[in-house]
Amino acid sequence: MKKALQFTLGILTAIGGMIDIGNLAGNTEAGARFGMGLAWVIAVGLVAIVLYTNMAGRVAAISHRAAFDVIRERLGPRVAMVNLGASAALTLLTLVAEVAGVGLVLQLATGLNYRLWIPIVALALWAILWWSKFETMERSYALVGLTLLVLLAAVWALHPDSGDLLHRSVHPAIPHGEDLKSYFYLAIAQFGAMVTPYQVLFFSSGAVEEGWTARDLAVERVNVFIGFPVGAMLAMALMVLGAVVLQPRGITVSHLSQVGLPVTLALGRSGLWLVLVGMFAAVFGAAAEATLSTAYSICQYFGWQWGKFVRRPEAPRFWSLLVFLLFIVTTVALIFDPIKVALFSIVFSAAAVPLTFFPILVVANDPAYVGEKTNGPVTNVLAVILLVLMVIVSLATVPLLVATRGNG
Amino acid sequence: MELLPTRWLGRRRFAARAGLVTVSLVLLCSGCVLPARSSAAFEGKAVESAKTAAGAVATARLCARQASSGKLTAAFASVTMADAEKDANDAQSSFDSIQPPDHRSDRLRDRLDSILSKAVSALARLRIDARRGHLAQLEHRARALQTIAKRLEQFQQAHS
Repeated sequence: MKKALQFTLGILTAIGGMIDIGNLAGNTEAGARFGMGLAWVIAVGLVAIVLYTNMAGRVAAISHRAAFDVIRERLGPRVAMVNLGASAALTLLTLVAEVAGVGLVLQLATGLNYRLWIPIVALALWAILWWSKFETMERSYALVGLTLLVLLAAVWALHPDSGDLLHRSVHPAIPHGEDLKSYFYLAIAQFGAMVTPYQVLFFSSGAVEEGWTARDLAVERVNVFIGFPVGAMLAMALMVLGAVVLQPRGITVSHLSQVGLPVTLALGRSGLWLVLVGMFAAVFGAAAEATLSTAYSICQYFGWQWGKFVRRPEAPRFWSLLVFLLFIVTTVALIFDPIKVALFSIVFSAAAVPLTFFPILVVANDPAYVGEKTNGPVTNVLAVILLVLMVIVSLATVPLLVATRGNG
Repeated sequence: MELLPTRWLGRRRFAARAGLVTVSLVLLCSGCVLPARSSAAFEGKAVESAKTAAGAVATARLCARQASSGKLTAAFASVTMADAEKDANDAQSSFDSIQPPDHRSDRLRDRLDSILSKAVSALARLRIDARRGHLAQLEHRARALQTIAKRLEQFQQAHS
């Protein structure tokens, strides 16, 4: 029974924990501008996140060591420092978007300006990170985040022509008024929304926090291979809603309110409350994950004691870092437009992904860390193909950002 | 004696270049308006502004219809209207800040500016009504946006 609960909760956690502010804005924006023309990116991103999260989880479960701990040891402090710098900077950018994003959701629910909510959100985050248990925290926001399944219900209620959607997905076309540069820019953004380094780092550190061992590999696989695909369905639902409701009306997404309109059109006021609760839980959960992920990475690199399972006096740097990060993020979040920050963060996420994923691939093939459970040939071929794709994406990001002036 | 080691100088040059690239990226991405060097470029920017405003008008119309049929809360409707107004306002102010390169562009500017002003004003009216909780009236009020939406569409078609 306990095992069954662990499986169920694991899957639900992965589903609820996959969607964040980047997906909400990015996937809907892609649907609103290119219809289903970027659906293939969600599929490619899903394969990449499943493959690499599975590797990171396996390394953590067998070696009992989290990603940055192993990366530093395997690649040396200099290379690992580059990885740490890129991933910490990017995760902080994501965190700014998530914290302000929670404020935006509360603004939609109450009408009060989101900036008023930002300090309260940061305080709530601090309180939850400080006092709640890891499992309680992770599972409560993930379970509440499941109300986002209302997105699938909204798609169902709108009765879109599924044949047409499928045709547009497999025959991508550039609509009138858009160009190839914008198409590829948004493709990168979609990829970045699916494949965020902080999720992989959090998953790996979470496995250590929860004390996973080689015996938990089945749970780990079920989480990854069922949870993430269902999470990707939510991302696809956002794209469909953008394509079916917003694109024909010429609406592009620059505010979170526009993400909610297709749901309310389909399901009315009850749909509105469900989507707001789901958005709140998903974005708040992502903010908690991103905060912990940044603190985990920094502590793991420097060899400091880390983890929510460690008493505060025994890990003073880890706990101080959490408070410091939330203070910095609150200040920055009060200044910049959160949706723009979210869209930039997912673009840069795509650019920085190879730096996090390459070492994971190396370590997952090293028997010193995973014993007999090294990658099989099929996994390695797929992982290398995806890594080459990620490097190409990474190299194309800045030129496309300049060419489109960050507007896609 | 070497006062500044070559490696240190190299690092300074790298830091200066990295700083320059960062500043350029920030300027490019911050939405600051670049000047239009020809009437064709000006026309392109005008179409871009009309498209943004048309999106804001369409958002407000969709919101108004739903609010009037009881699908939205007053808070959600007022935030959505305020967002739409902001988008249209931003489109107008960034278009207005572009220097028109010739007389033809002056005429184009006047024409679009008049439509954008009407859009911003109509959206502000809707935002005020939504904030007052007069949701039932929104659809009726939003009828004024129908003509504006048509004019923005015609403008885009004529100049793209």
